Amino acid sequence: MKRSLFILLTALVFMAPAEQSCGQAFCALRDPNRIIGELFPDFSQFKSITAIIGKPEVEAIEKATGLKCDPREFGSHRLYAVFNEGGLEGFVQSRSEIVDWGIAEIIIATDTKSNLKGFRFQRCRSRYREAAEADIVQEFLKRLSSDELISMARDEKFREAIIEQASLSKKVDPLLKGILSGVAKMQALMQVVWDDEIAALGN
Amino acid sequence: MYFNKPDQKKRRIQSPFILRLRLLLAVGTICISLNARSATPDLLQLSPVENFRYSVDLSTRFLHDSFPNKSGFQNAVGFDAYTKITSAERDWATIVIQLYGMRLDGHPRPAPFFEGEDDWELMPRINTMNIHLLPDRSLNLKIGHYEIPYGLEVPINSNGTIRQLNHGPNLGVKVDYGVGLNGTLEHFQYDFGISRGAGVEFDLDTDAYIFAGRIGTVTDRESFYGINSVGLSVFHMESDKAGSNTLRRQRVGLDGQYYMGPFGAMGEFSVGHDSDRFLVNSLAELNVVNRKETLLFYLQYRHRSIDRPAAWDRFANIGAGVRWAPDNHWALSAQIDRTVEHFGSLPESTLAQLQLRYRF
Repeated sequence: MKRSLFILLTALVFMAPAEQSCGQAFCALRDPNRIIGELFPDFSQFKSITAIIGKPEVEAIEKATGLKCDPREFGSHRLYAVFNEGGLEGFVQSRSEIVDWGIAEIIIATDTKSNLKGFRFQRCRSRYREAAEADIVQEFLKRLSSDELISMARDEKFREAIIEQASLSKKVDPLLKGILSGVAKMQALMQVVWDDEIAALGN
Repeated sequence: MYFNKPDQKKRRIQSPFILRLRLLLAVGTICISLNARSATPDLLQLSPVENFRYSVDLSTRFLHDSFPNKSGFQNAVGFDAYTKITSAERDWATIVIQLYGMRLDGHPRPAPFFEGEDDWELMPRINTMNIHLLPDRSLNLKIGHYEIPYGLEVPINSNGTIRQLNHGPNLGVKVDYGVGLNGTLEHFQYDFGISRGAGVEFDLDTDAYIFAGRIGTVTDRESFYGINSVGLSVFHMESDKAGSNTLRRQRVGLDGQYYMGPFGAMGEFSVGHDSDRFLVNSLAELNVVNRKETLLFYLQYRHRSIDRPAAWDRFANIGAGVRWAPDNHWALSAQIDRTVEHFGSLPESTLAQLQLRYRF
């Protein structure tokens, strides 16, 4: 029996597709269910849609946004489709972005048309987290188009405008850049990777 | 690290039925998922397909123990799979399957479930189905071979890494077969379970059991100098594995984590009894990461005191480690542990470990 199990394990080793790799064991994966509840207070349920982000997808994202992707962005990623009693309400993705100290995990929500609805940090070691999550920042970013979000993610001068308008410390900038990069990449991923699934949900 | 009973190895021989059942469950889930992968997705039907993913986890670890002066290897090849059972608008359950083949060659400190320092062993790690009873995940039912919900191990995953927390030294068991309830509410999360008390093995001929649980602040608000996952844990184990003398192990523990920029601090403090012996058990860690979090350095201090009839008996250990993980595939880790105070009259000793891990 032991030998059979080892043969099974060996077979599975050769069947594994490299692009699904995840740096940590899968038992560590967590869904951002509590933050989904904060971003969609009327939600009734949600479902996960997993896709493999390989080299072609990363190249497409980088081309669409002009933003560089970290090697750890390869692999399987989840998009959460959020529903209320009336049907599909929007989408959520957990994005990992490198900020001033370490990786920030940002939970980003969009409506059904991929427009930014809001965001929360799930993990952030910066003392400026609350400032970056402030309502005034969220409201400002919600009014921006995809192209404007990308421009702001790429250009520090554009971000200074938000920081001045919201009377924030300039040290919020790394977090703001992370948020903008995350939103821009999520919107691009929804078109490049999850377009079929999103269309099916809308029908 | 795990149960340390003299007759444990006799009980290692499992019922062929249980082994077949475990194999059937694992293979069945994998086959269903792989076969269905090629089918047209039907969002109106339950499906374990859409979210199926798996990785192969290879690692080799070199160990050197200064007392006795001995070196060895621990190699592992593992299958790590994850999927969700999903309907048109909802995730109904999350399934994790982790089957590992472990090989020891001259291991200086083999765990009790190995038959010595040179051995092959098939090791199930986390193999669970977490059924989402409520769609907002405030109430879930977990079934299977799960990690005992106690202390820092709940918010931090140390599965397959050199960097370990306090499950082994404190509880004597890290994973067990059982059932439990867990969930996340607005301000706190909980995880409680009752399990077989058998650890890695599934012993049917024992009345042992473990009840364990943790309630703590939510772990998704890690922030600068904020309250990060403070938790209160309980553990109660009754074990009759020795046949003649029942071991009763009880713990109450407090754990917490704090982060300031690149620096992190965490600790776990437990008090309790091993049968009629009162004991105190603690772990403290300081760590620092680089900006990309590809490098982690940490210092650990472990302490354990047992109130024996003659006097308090103490154990203290200091460890230092580093982990370099440049991408989703590679992780190189090293750690040195110096036991500066030993139970009984054992001398001081040093354990050095170096591990290369590759996931694909």
